Amino acid sequence: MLQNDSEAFAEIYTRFKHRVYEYCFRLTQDRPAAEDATQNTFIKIQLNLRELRNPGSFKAWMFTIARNEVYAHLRRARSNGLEGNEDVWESDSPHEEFVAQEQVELVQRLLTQLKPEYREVLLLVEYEQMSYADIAAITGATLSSVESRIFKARKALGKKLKPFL
Amino acid sequence: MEWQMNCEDYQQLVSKLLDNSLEKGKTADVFRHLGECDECRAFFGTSMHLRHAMQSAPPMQATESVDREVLGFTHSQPRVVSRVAGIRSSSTRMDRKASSVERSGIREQIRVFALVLITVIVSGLIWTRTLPKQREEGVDLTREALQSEMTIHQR
Repeated sequence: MLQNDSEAFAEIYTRFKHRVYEYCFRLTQDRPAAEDATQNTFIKIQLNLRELRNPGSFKAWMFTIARNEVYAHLRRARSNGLEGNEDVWESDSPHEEFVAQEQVELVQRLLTQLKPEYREVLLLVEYEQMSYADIAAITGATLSSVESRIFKARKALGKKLKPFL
Repeated sequence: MEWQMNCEDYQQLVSKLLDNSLEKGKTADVFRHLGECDECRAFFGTSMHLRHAMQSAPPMQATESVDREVLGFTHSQPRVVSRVAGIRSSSTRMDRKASSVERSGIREQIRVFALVLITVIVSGLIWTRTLPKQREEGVDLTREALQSEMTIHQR
């Protein structure tokens, strides 16, 4: 049922804007890009709400749009090879650089070094507690691919985190 | 020849276990292996530390400029078409800090409901079985009462 309800949309926007922004920022590591992606996400939500058939899948749909905006930015910023390269790390910094006193800070730094396709699945499962099926729907990956990426990301991060535990 | 799982295989299962996505029937085997294997136990431990560290990070907030752009766009639309009522009701069920216990909460509720339903049905069946006996007893009591009254009248 369609309703003329901009106040209610504003309520939903207020509820989800920080979560979408956080997701976009953690993927892009770029505040202006994350803000643009967040704005575009919610504007597209308003314009395309008719396409949402199941209100229960709104969260997955919202993050799919946000992800598309982020990847559009990443494509513009640089070319990014995805499948075929089993390496989990995007950049390679010496371990000694991480003089983080707190594990939280260390983990945040390590997360920025993961490749986007590994980072995004970990963000969705840890911060948003999404199911593997929802993550597969958002990322367009297969279920087994999502499982594999989450496992590999945990393994790689755990290996770097271990000396600090 | 039975395929033997190695630690890499078990750690993949541990990863799924952490996300409440492990297939039924495999949990016991995974926990048994964790009890025996230091390496896999270490993977489980560091994954839990990783989860704690990620979820302890301070939340990030969008600036007011995002509000101006989005809400400004909203108000500029002559008619915002939405299915907001359905989204609102479904979004109230979403909780950012939902734990794995909450994720399995619905399954647990269904189990409890099924148990209660079975108990009610069984109790109902037992009650209905005893009804004819009670009715007979009730009829017998009534007959006894009638007979005693008749006896009294005859006297």
